[in-house]
Amino acid sequence: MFAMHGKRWAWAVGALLALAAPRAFAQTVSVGSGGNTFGPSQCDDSSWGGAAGHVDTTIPIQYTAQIPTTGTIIGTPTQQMFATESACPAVDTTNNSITVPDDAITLVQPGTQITSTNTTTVSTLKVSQLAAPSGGCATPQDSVWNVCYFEFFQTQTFGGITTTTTNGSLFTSLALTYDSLPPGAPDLTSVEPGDSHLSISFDPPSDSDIASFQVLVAPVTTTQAAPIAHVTPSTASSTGTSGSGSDSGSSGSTGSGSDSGSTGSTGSTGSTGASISSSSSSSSSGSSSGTTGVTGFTPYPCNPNAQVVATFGPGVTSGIIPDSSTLVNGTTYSVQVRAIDQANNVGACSNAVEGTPQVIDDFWRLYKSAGGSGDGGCTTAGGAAGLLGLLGVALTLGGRIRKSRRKDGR
Amino acid sequence: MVALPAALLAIALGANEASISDVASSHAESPISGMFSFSLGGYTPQVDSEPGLTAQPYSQAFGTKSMLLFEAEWDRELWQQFGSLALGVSAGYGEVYGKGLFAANDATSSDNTALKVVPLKLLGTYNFNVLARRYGIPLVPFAKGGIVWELYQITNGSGDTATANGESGQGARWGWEGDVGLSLLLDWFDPTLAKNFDIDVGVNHTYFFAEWRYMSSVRNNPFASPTGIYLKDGYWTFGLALEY
Repeated sequence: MFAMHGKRWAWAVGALLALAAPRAFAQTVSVGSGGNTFGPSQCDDSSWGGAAGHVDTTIPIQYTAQIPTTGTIIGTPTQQMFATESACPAVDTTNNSITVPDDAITLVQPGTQITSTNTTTVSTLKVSQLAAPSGGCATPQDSVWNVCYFEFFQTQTFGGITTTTTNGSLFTSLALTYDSLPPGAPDLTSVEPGDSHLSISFDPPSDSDIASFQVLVAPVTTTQAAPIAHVTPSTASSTGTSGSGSDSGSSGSTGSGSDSGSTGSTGSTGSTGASISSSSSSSSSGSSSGTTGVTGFTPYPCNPNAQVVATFGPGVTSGIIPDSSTLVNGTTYSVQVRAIDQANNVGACSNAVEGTPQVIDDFWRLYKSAGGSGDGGCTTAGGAAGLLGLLGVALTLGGRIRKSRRKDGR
Repeated sequence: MVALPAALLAIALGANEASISDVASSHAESPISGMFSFSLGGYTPQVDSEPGLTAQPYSQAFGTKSMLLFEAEWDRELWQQFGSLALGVSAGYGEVYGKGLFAANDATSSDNTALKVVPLKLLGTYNFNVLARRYGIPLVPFAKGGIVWELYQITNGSGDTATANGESGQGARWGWEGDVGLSLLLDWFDPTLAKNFDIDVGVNHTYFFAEWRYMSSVRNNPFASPTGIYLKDGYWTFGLALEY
């Protein structure tokens, strides 16, 4: 009996201590919809006094304020939320407050009262606000903003015993990125002729935020500005390379505009493939100052006559083009690839490689051209009906025999 | 009535007679009504053997490659006296990939081409399980025969159904099949486990089998003389069978 009383007493003490101890509550902060990365296509300088461009996108920040459901709340719970390029500050536990950084964009005013438990509210932030401190929407930048959230309340538990719990959890997990740096250029390594299509393979740039690749194709009859590697029928593979594929978007492409770095570039070489002819075009040097410091890389202009005929997902670096419709056999096409990042920044085009779709005999054509007498699908329907009939007979037969066995008591 | 199958099982598993007798004495074997099996085999359709061909299209596209043909079969046992007779159906799938050739010079291109088949069969099977049931030899020779209806599809470099002169590279062929094989009764290795398998899920016997199949799918319709794309082949296949 005493032992049982002892256990109950221990439970009561444990519960008291658990309630009295500071507790963390699971506030949540998230972007209401879409991703956390934004770019120039969603930014409008006019919002902060610059030139107008695109529609300035509103970023909805959804947060849920959670206050304790046990005990009695003393006073009014308050909250605070802001975005900063700095790290989220630490909590001053003596004063139950935080020091807001100078660059902070206020999302919820300090001391804003929480009206009820599990209050979900949406605050907003403009993309231009993320870009403004660095000079505006078009300024090359890759700025990361942290959304910081602070919540304060006091609770009273048990009659006569007052316990104050401070919840000072700050959230740095929600990072918003403003990215105006385009990804680097892929390196188109192979264009193989197919039947009314081309098979391509390329090395992607080193950027980690690539969302997709676009494949651009233009008939070679138009003026060609880019370096060309030509693939003829029966070529096994093209191994031409335009260099290291370094991330021009992150650093190198922000050069001052001088042209000094372009002439020495050798990135378009790589015609080591057995039957690929390759040539460097002087036109590639026009605005390639960004190559300074990047060995062996030359950005190529996109062929103005090219059309996007296929889109590959991130991580997909080979495939058949186009996605739909067909290319014309015997016509030579110039192919280029470019990357698009998650902020919708369009990267530079790859080196251009030519390919000429050719008539290719698949197995069926080989069979028919050899005089094969097999015909196409005309027998399928009749055959299916016949087979279904046979299956029906089989199942019926099985069922009848089973029934007769049951009758016989077997 | 129920004691007989149990006794037969005990005899069949002669090497472990003591243990199986103990189990059999406490639980009778459930009635056997059918068999489910699945198998894998290397199937090489003999397309090039079609009379009148001026070239060897299969070899040109696929070389000497075989396709890994997976088949699943369900049989209903209709007679169980001296061995067993069953009637069943099966369905399978196999594919082989190769490269197309440039029409201009017959050089190998990078375009894939594929032959995909779905053989559907109506089969009769005789299992000579007397040795296993009466003499404890865990081997069951068997023979099968039946009708085959084999669908095929040939794809081009875009992954679409190939066409030649407006004719689509897909269809179906009728034919017949004759098989012989040998099953190894796996119950023999662990009679207690086998018995529990029966008690728990109703599977009486489990077999591993090796089988030589001859599939002849060469007819445009079941009553015509051989014509059309030849999908016949004799090949080995191996699999597992569950008798329930």
